[in-house]
Amino acid sequence: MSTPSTKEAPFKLVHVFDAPRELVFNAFSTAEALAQWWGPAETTNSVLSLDFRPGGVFHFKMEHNGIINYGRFLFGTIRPYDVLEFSNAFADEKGNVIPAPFDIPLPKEILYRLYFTEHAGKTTLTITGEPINATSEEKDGMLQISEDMQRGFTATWEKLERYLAS
Amino acid sequence: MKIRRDVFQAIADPTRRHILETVARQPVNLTTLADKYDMTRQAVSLHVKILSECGLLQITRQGREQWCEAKLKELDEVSRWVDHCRKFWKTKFHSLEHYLDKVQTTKKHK
Repeated sequence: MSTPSTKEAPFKLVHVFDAPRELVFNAFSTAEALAQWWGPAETTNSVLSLDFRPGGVFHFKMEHNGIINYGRFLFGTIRPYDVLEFSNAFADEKGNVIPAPFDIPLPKEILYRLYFTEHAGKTTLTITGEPINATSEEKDGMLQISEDMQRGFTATWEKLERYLAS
Repeated sequence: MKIRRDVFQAIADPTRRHILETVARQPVNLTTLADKYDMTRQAVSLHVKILSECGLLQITRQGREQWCEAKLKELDEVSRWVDHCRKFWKTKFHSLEHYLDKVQTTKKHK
């Protein structure tokens, strides 16, 4: 039996910011801050609503050449100033999740986990992302084995990526 | 109505990512695969079934054994998404950096 101890997400990115972590963390927590940096670079983005608490929603609008799309965060764990979890998806004008409005294959919804650590006034932000895509049929099937799943597994995804690249 | 499965559903689960990694190294029979996990054979079979329905894994029957083989080409879609994600967040972290600089400069001048 293998006893894997971690579960790695397919997407991971680490970045060091020259700012204390409280500041970096709070850049995700207010509409004023999000309005200034969040959203695709090629679109004009505006905040429609923000409810920064577990289970709360951040609803935003993206405009480009007269085309309007909406997006949505659903916040999960919020642990200032260490951990922040939210899922991100395209949405309609009411904030309901919709599939990506482009003809490129993307997950409908992505779960992001952000970890903040501070050293000498600089903040290391680690972000991981994985698709959320379970159907109810699958959820039923998985319910019985959820305990097993809780233990986590060493999905050494990066190794697979290296393997595929070689 | 049958919902079309996609590769993102396939990799939405850590166990399935692990199974994929295992079979990507070399084809493996279902019994050997099931023995690797701390879960019932049924549960492993369900994961394998989902991977197969998503086109990432092929099951071939040889006598009484079922062999699982990774369909690596289908994984390109996943790599493309990961690349897309990385580019997007790199750009975003750049904007966040600008924002943080601005906020900190404003503070200092107060």
